[in-house]
Amino acid sequence: MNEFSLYFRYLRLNFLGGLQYQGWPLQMVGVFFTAIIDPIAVLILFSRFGAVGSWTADRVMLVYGLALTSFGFAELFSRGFDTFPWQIRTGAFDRILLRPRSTFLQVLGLRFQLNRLARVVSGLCLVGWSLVVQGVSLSFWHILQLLFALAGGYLVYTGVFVIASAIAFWTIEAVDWIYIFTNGSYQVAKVPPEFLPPWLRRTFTFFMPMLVCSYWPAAVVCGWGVSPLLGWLPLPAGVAFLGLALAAWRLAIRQYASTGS
Amino acid sequence: MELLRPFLSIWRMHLANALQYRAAVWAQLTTNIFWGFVRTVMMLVFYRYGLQQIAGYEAGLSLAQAVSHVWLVQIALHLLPGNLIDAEIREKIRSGDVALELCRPLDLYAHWFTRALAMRLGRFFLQLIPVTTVAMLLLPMPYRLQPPASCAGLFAFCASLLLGCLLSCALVGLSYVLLLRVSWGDGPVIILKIISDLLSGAELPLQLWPAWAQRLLAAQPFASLLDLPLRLYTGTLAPSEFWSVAAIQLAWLVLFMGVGWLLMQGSLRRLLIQGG
Repeated sequence: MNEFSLYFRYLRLNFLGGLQYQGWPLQMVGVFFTAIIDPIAVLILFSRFGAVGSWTADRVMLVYGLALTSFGFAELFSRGFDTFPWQIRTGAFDRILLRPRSTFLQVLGLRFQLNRLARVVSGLCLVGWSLVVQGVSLSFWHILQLLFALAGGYLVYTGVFVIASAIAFWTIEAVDWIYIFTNGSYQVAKVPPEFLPPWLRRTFTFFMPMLVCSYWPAAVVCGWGVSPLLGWLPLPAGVAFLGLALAAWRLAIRQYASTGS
Repeated sequence: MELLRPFLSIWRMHLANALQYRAAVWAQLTTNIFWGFVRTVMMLVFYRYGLQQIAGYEAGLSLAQAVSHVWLVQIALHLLPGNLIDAEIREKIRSGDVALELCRPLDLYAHWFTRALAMRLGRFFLQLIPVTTVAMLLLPMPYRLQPPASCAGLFAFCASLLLGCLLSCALVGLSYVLLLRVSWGDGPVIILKIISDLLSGAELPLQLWPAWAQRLLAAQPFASLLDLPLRLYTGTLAPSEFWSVAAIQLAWLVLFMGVGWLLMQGSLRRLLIQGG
């Protein structure tokens, strides 16, 4: 069985397992609840204060929506890494090491929860809404750029999860500051980039390329005066970031000593 | 006193546990301050560059008060229901180990309530001094947490925050009851968490919500968790209002504890243990 079909088999098992709970319709209600509520605080601020400079609610929501969707995809398809420190702490990771398959893919498929679809749905709705309200006419290349932006963002966020897991080999406990680069990072996208303190903008451009995968493609597609070339950067940035993360992961696994059962 | 002993030792155990992973404490601190900073930036941007800059003041909340609100949320963060459930109890219910908990000669609701309270206060005290120091002394001016509006306001705030914390444990108790219905999954608990996050004013001061909803927002149970106590600190509510705030808080506390306890007795009577 090749690795990818193994991964999708994991997802299918997790999915069917989830359906065993009678409450799964309630879970879906929960999903839509999250989806509606997530951007509500900013929208309330916009409705009270009006636009910020040239930034209207719909412009901000495009950047935010792109970041949110890519994070959502990462949570949906790489959730195993998100909950990974627990595996280390309980010693469950030893079981994974015993199996003659890629540890990376096994951890990736460890968990799959449909309720993580919430951010994806919410993000895509925001992107769509924003593009319609702004009246942007999309060419084929623009659509491609937006898709690449989501793919790049997905790789970046998966990279963050992988790095967090690699660190967990040493700290055992989950490392909370990683939230800065997961849930925290797309909160940053709620603030128009030009109003961000410079060090914050640089951190999320060069260190963890969240703005590269959200603001730049958004600016290129809507024509906010950014060089069109920048719109193609998300995918290479994502690949590079995930590559570094995987290197850290390999390094960490090599020195792993079990914590016992 | 004899009755309280087990609860005191649960308390001690969890405080020691919270202190155990010092690296984790540092990590939480960094994250906490980062979130506070990003939220302050957001407030500043809207108060300074919003087309209707005056809107915040019209809502009765000045920029300084809004910034203080943000930091107080960060300080009191661990008193909130938060993730509602500690992972250990979730895992116990999922794996069936909850049967073990039932063997203890303690009321399960009281046990889990104490546990929730101990965890919350433990984490709160760990974060209290460092976050306050950073927010009040180290940050430059527009980002800074302001001192309380008055001395009486500070006392009223502390007392009311404590009531809010108890209410938050009552909500946690309720979510354990929901979780004990294993077949429901954690959908209901997630919904409860989302609602309490939003309506407690942790995301955004409730005063900045639309004007027509204000009375409703102040009366709903989640405002008692955090938003009402914070108003006593920032001075948008006078210290003399404390008694009416406390009355609302107590009413919700009694209601949620009562319902939680009763429902738990009900679900323990036909508890489904899964796993083996």
